[in-house]
Amino acid sequence: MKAFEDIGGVVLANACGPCIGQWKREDVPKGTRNSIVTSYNRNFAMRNDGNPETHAFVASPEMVTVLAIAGRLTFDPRKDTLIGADGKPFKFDEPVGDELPQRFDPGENTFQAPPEDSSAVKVEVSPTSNRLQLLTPFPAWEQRDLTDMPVLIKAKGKCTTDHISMAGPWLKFRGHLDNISNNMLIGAVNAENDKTNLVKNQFTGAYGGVPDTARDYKQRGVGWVVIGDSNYGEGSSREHAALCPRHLGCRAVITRSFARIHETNLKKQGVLPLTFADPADYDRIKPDARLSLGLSNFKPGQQLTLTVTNPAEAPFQVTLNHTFNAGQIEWFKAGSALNYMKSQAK
Amino acid sequence: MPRSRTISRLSGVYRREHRVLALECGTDLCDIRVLLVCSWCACTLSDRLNRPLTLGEKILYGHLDKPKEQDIKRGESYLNLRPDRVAMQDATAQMAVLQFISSGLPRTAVPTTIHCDHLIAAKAGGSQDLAVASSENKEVYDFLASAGAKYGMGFWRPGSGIIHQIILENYAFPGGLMIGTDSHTPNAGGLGMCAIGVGGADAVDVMANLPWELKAPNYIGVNLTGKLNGWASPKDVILKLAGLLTVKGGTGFIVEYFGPGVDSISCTGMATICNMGAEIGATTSVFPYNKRMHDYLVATGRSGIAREADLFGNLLRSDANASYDKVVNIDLSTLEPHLNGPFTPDLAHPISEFGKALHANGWPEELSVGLIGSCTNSSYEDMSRSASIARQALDHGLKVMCCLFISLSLSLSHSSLSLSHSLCCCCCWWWWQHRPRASLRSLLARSKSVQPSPRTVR
Repeated sequence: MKAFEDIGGVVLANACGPCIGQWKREDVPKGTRNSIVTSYNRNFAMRNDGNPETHAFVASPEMVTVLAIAGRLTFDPRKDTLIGADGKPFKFDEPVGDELPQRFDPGENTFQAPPEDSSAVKVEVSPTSNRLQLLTPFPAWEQRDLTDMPVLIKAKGKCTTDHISMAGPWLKFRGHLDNISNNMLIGAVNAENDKTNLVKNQFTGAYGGVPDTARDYKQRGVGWVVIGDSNYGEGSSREHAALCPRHLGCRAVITRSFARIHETNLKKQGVLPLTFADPADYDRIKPDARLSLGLSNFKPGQQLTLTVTNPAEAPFQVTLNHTFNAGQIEWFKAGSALNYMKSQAK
Repeated sequence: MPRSRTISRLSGVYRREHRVLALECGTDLCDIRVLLVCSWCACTLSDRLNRPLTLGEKILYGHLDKPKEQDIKRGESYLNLRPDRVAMQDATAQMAVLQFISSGLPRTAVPTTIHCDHLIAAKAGGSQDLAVASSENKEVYDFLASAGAKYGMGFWRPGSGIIHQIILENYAFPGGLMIGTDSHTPNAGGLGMCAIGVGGADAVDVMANLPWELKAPNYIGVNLTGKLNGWASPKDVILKLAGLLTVKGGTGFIVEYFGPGVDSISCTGMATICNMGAEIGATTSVFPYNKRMHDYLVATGRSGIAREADLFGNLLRSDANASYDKVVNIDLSTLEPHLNGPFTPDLAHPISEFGKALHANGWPEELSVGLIGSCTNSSYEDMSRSASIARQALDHGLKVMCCLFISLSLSLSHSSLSLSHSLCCCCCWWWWQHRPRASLRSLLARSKSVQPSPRTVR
């Protein structure tokens, strides 16, 4: 560690930090084009520092170190040289290091084992907390087709769980569903205007934030739909990306394809993840379309039919696939997997 | 008790033909480790399927809820599985625990741990910072600690380190199946475990003793030949693979590594590769048991598990002629260091071609910040290799041309790395957000003035 500090490195805390957006950058103003290189695993736009102009590259830690010393990305340590303090050029030797330390130092014990008898332990959640909120079960399926649902947003291109439920400052609301829902889909790009967090309210015609518009629909008692592109929900496993849309009234997410974990998470929360049988149908749905979904024939392996009504156009039908099995359909009917588990325990 | 029920269930299923071992663990970190060697599938199930199995198939099918009735068709069936363990980080644990509470059950059905790492911000500090952090996150930590105690979950306090590293050092074992509420859970594949990232709702299922459902994955085999050397590192294996398969290429697949090149990669290096398998969408990634894993188990105080795994080494790898849906070959001897990006991890550039791509696209060449560490890459090996580069720069009187941040992930590794100041004190991001505006330069100055903590200086 000393070697890093001696060359001007800064050692940070023992946690995820900038890797999940916990990084308040001040060296580069937001919006400035710049390059960073990390040995992390993600480099989606704005992941590390929230600046869309930060070009983040991923490499091995030894490469990051040598590039930081060279100060430029195009330095190839295998053949390029740097000028030392003595004015002479030198080439780096290959990195060497031990796989394992001589011994692991257990350090401070930071583990708390659960007691055998926990009957006296009290778990409390304050009703006024803005960080924790006990859950209210989602309503069960109303046992009829879902009709005349507005598209809340037609997301264009990459829409990862970071776009759906941004990390960083929002992490503190993880345990408070209503509060964290204010970040819902604010990173997704609206296909209508190429903007983030700006969608048209189909009832008022006014443009507003995605969560605000969803809340308005919810208040009107209207369920809504998200249209997505390929590999929708890639990235992390955070179920808030499914919980928040559900909480604000989402009934279905219809995409060209899903990332596995997110697809399952949507099912667990009682939202329908559906895919276009013909991916080209994505282009036929306008961002302000109304959608009706027939569910009388909702069975494993059976396609569903969506009726699309674009503004000022005749309705047309689109065929959708789903991956629900019989058990998962029960989750949908009960309103969520948890509702179903509860109903089975009774 | 649910835990003993789990063991007896396993024993009931497996005892006839194989050994299940409950190893008493010498530390108080966990009560019992179950080393489950899935020879069961090698016997009964391969009779049924009548074909050689991949390692991932052995592990998954060895954890089936109803192995005799389960429909098994890759890419089609939904497997009902019984994972050995659940791990949750503090961010996702909140919602999962809230959900578990609303299920009304008294205790978790399988060993479960909560790890406080995601709510901690990037700053080094002393005991003062810990106090600030604890008070800012107090409500959440208190909730998780008390709910953990109430419902039988182990609780790793803030400052313990990143979840995946703790799991690798304490809980992962060859042939095991675990789920974690974080997409980088597959990190434990570096120790031959099938570790799968899930949502909190899945964790709730497993904690509630319901079988956990997973669509039977397909399998990508990565045949590693040659030997890792020079500037190439384990990271470059996965950066190269990400370029070949893209961020979607692993969706629905378990990525299994095999071949003569495997032994040239350290256990923590294998963990790095498995960790980043999440970036190509893989269900999980797994390496076959080998000497490197043996050494790592011994070094982390688990020689008992190493001994047992040695006995079953032939089962902790794929069968000869096991069929993969896709096979990728990577020659480690000619593997170049890679720079992937920007904006997506599958835009892979071997370093020899990077300059061309940079100029063609007009990406900024000057580097503003370098960051090393994180749960993906802060093993002892990563740090010592990087430090060897830093030392060379020092020897030539050079410093970094841009900011270089080092974020580590673990107490054990930390303590072994001889830190000059306390890293194990945490600081919540909230403080970071609201601290007085300071330039990086002053931050640098401040971090250097932090006093050494007695615990970490040896």
